[in-house]
Amino acid sequence: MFFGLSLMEVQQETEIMFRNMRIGLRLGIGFGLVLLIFTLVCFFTINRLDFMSDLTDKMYRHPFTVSSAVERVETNIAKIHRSMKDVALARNDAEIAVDSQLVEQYEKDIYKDFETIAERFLGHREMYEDAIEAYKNWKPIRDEVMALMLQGKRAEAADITRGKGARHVEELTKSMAVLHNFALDKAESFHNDALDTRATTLKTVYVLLGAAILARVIFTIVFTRSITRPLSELVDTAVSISQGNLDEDISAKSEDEIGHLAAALDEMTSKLKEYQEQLVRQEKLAILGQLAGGVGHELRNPLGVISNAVYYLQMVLPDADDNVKEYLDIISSEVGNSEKIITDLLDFARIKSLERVEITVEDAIAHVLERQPPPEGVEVVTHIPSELPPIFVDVQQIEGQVLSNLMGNACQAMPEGGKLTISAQEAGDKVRISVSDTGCGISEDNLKKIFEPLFTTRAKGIGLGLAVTENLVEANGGSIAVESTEGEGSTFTIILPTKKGVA
Amino acid sequence: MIMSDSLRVLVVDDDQNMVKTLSDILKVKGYETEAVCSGAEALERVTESEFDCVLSDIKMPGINGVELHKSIKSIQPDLPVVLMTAYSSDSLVEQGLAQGAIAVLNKPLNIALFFTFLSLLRKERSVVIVDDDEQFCKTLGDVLTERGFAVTQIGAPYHVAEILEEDAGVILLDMKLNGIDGLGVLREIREKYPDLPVIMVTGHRVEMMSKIEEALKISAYTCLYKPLELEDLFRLLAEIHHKNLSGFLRPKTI
Repeated sequence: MFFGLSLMEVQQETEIMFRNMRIGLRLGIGFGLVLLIFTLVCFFTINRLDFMSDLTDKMYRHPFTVSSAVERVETNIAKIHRSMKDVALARNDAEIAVDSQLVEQYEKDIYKDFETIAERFLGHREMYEDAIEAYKNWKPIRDEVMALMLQGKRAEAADITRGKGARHVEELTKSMAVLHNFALDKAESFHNDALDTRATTLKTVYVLLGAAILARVIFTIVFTRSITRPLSELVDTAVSISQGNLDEDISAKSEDEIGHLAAALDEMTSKLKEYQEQLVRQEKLAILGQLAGGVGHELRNPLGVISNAVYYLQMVLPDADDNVKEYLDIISSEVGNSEKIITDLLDFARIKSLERVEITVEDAIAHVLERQPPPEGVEVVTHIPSELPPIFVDVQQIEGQVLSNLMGNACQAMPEGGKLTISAQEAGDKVRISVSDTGCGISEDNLKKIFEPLFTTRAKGIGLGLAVTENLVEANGGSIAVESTEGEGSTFTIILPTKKGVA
Repeated sequence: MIMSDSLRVLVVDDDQNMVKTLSDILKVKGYETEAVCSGAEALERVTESEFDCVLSDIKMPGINGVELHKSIKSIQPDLPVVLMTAYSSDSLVEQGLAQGAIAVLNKPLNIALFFTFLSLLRKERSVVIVDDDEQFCKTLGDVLTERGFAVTQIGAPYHVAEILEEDAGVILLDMKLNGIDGLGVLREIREKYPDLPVIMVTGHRVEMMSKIEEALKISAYTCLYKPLELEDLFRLLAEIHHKNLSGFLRPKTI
């Protein structure tokens, strides 16, 4: 399958194959394969050892038994031969009887050994059957000699012994030698077999061991790399993140534990980024608040003097020409505008403790509409269910600033007239209030910055209104969101707690 | 007490331009004005001569407005002190109000409002005594005049509400006038002047109990019993004075 690919490519292929596997499974497979190979080596070795011990057994049981039986037969034949000579040399019948008994004894032994040979012999049957046949032919010769000796025909018996008997012994010895040789050959071949088996077994075991070690090395490299490479990539990423590079790409590349770790890191980083942005924003707001407070207050003194001076001039110059009067009016009204900006700044900077009371959304909206009636051409539609629970907020902040600000903005977005829709729904232990207009809408770019302090699209104003609104809503335990389609209108939604929603 | 036609106002601020513009404006409006640039100077002036009103900045180096007010209270307890500040949320503001400053005004100063306040200062000095007992009217009238109040005496209990002048400050109303019920007169006055402070006066504490309760219900300020404890009356008049001034200057909360 991997033929034609370089080792590098094989490794990469394997890595990709393994990457989506859980690390535990990967390790399991690796160790399992190595274990399997070692087990195979063990089984094979045991099997070969078994075989070798079989061979040894066979060697002991067969060729050695046969060859020693053959040797005994030969010895016994020699003994019989000698005993026959003794018979021939016997001086009386008593001696003949003794020697005959010995001969019979030797014959019995020979028969026993022949049985052993017949039983253990591994060669062809004819080989030992010939020997047995040859031996059997000996018996009439012996009987003849015996009979001759008993008749006292000593010379004839000796002749037979020396002639026929000797020839027969020779023949028998020859066939026994054949048997002997065969058994020895057989033993030699068993021995050679054993040596061969030992050699091949050792060779195979070495090869298998080598293969196992090689496989282990390859698995180790492949598995380890498939774990360590993404890990070290992650480490690099983490280091980069720790150095403040929060835009690092940590997209999870695999489905294993490292992939999950990467995903978690990614999540963590985006959270971190979010919190960092939030922190920066809060810091910005805090600094801006301090600055706004300080500047606002410090400006009030000189503004006060200017306003006094204008008042004085207006008083002492009742007959001044109209131009001068107009200019004094301009200064006066601009001082008024400046003061309003300062009041906005101070509102923004002020950290006030909340004075929560329960108020129905209906009442709050009605109060705002009463205090700042919508301009002509703006139709007001409210969808507020009567069973809606009251909100539990600081009325001065939520009614006096947040709602009044949102509704004021909505009206300002519809200079040509339009529809101002205010709706409210219960949302758990909170209440969702939406203020929608059918005005010009907000572009996507502006939508992102709309709650940032000092952001404004108007020619007048310093862009604190919505920043203050957001701050106040959040201080009251709520949240604010905006949706807008350019040319169709905008919807600001605030979520405020009911008494139950304030822990 | 020196009664001059014009009110004497002491303006205190460490900002020279502020005291200059303010005192110039007040002078043009016909108020006798003195301008100083520190709390220490202000204290010196208050010790040397009498003023009708002190307008002082709160945040000043050395003696600040609140400390100045405290010291003034030990020299001239009735002297109304109005504080002003550029810092709307400050612990000094709360301290000042807690120790009885008339008000703490934000800078830039609403001068028109302050003028109205000054005219109120003069108006609040008038007391109207409605009683058919001529002796009582005269003696009390003399005492009050001596204390610097402009006193009007009404002996006949008819059409009191119509006789009353627009700038009437406090009314002392007897509960039993020639057989006419003081309560009826109080109702008449309430119709025309819903916020005018009216102090009921009676020598018949026990018999009048139920009527007194009713009078308090239709917002009589309180009830005093004859023979009058003058110190109580003065304290009461000062209290009403202070309340009115504060009520006028302190911004209405929404």
